[in-house]
Amino acid sequence: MALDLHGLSVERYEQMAEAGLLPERGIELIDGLVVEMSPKGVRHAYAADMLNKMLVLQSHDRYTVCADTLSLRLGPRDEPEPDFALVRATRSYARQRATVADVALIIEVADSSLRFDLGTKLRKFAGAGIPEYWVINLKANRAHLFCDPLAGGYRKQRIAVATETISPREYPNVAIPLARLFGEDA
Amino acid sequence: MLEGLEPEVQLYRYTVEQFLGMAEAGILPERGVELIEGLLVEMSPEVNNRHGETRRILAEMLLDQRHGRYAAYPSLSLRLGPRDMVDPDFVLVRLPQGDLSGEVSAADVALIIEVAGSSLDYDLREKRERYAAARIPEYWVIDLQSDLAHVFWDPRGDGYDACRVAAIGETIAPREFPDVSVDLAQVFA
Repeated sequence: MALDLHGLSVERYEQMAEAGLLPERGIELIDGLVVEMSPKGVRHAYAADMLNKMLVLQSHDRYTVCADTLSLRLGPRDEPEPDFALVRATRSYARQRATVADVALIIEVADSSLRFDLGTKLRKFAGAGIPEYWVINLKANRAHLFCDPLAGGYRKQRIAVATETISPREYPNVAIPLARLFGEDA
Repeated sequence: MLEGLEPEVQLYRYTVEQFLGMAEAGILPERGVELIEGLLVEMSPEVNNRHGETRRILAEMLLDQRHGRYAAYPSLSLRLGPRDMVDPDFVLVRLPQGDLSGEVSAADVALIIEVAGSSLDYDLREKRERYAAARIPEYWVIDLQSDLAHVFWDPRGDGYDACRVAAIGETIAPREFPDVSVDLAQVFA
């Protein structure tokens, strides 16, 4: 039989974190449930590192790159911690953290979490109105690009292969050659 | 168990200490949530008072016959292991014990009883496994769906070696207190 799991609101979740009742890293709140982020292997670390360098180098103070640092309130029972969030540098985040309205792009780097990132996560980001979402697929060395959010998904989507260079819609001169993320540029 | 989430998603599992911390911080409701294998599980609300009435009848029978040998707790938070803390309908604790205002240990429990309406499957499976694994010597499920009592004893692994089903017309007794008689005709009245 199905267990009725007790769900948490984002307020309770944050209260628990403040009370030291949760680990500081590696968890997120999805549908009111605290879920463990999948362990990150060597390819994940490499791709995330390359992506971080490229995004930061090309930002020219137009956006901030939050790598594993932004707990984003998406809704009353959803607070994921994406691998990357590009947050517009239109205001200071010194005293108030970024909200959904500040986010230009979310990127997840996915190996074992691929189905989750392309399923539940995608629906949550779209539902919250995140304008653009990328999933860097390390299993197939390609990227899934989504934009124009609707209630249950994104209206536009395409798959970019490893030989392509991709750019955020809001920052079209930022170039991410995918081969470099997959270590295929050598 | 996870209606919406992909099967590879791992839920975070809490320890009893985290669970108690959440209760203390007012993050959990005072009743109605148990910790089962590290997950916060909601106890099913009862739609009518048959559950409450059955508990009342059982409580009276057990209290009338205790003669100082045990304490019968309706509602007691019981730690079964590092990630399990449950709130059974009845816990019979052997007396004399030391300070009963502290935490009751699973090792002092003679019998656990669950009164099961909508929670029957859960009580007969997950709960039975958790109680057996914690070496609770005897476990009864008072089944309000079929007016039967499921009696389990001799815990081993995550199951019980012995069980029997008793119906109206029979009386059952805790194995540690065989003269205490629970008349099922009265329980299911």
